[in-house]
Amino acid sequence: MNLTMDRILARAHELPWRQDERKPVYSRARNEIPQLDFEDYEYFKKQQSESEVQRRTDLDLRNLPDMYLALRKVRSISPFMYNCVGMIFASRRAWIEPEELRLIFCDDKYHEITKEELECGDIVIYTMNNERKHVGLVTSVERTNGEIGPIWVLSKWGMNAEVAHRIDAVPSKYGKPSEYWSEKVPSAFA
Amino acid sequence: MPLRKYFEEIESFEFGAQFTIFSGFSLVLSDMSENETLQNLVDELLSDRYKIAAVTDRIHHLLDNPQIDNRMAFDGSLASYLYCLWKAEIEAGYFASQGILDTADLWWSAKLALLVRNEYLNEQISNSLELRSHKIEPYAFALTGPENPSFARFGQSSHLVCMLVSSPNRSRRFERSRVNFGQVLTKYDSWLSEGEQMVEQESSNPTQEFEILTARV
Repeated sequence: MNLTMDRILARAHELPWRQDERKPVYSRARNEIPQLDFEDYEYFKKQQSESEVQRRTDLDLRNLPDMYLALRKVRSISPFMYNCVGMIFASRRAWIEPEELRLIFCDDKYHEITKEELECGDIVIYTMNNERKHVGLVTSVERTNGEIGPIWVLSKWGMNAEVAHRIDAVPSKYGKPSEYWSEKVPSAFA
Repeated sequence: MPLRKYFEEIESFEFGAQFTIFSGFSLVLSDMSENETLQNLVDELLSDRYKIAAVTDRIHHLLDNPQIDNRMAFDGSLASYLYCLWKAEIEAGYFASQGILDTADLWWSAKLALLVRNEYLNEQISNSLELRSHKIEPYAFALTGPENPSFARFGQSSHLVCMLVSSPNRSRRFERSRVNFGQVLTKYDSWLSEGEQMVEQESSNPTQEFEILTARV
């Protein structure tokens, strides 16, 4: 046994995460937010190109209903590895799976709000069959006489582009916007 | 529907690209389980074993075809084929997954291949080898920093176990990456003395008593 353990320790430097160049992402409560596994990260780093991202995004947009065509604008086709959660909570530097939202919301003191309470900077979650599929950052909310109007959202569509779009103008596989979250502390002088 | 039609549809750009909008592997699996084309193909495979071989050949065709210079363009198609093999006959999925894992620059298909391979191996171990419960005595080596795993070994057994994660913050990551752990474990197999095989870790807390599967091969 000792011989075996010695052999393992002698080669411990070959463990793949020893070469991990990424920095960890922490919540406000100092818990590390799990990122993409190292091996997946290595795959991803090599395989994305701008032309591929563009091509796939064109397809996503073509598949949207016609009524949404004017209601979205591609912001970026960066091939860097980040997703919708990483765009919002890790400054476009990480791929964080949507299941980690529970940890982030808890540690960062997010609270659920209604659609009517939405403001710029809040979060919208898209769900289907009670599964969180996608998350977006609210960039503007138009109101007329106190009534809520069009809502604009910025979100990263998986491996594809980052898109500014109306709240409903997303691929059908994301489901519907059904949860709204905020961590804001309202100013007394607003 | 003839297999040729399935191949045309699954290898179309539109079909493969539909999985690239997802942000997590579980979401891809969930979407595949609801995909009508894939469900129909699984039914076809279950009804005719010849078709399993044909789908396996199709995977190898995509992997080995020298005219395909961008394998990533077929990542979704490869994942779809593998998903169907997995659901129809896991052994066929296991052998197909080896080819995918040997190919660089794949994404969802590589993740699925790891899942299929580990599930198959775990199934084999559970079915054919000795299972025992052990109490683990932590044997923490001074590998510094939270980046490093600590090692543990059985107090009395000659079976070597595995790596346990020493940092509470890291532990969640490793629990989630058990699929990938398989690769590391496989690599470690070659380091072990004959007659021993490192198999699986079930807990991330090295101070806890927990179940570990061991196999004597």
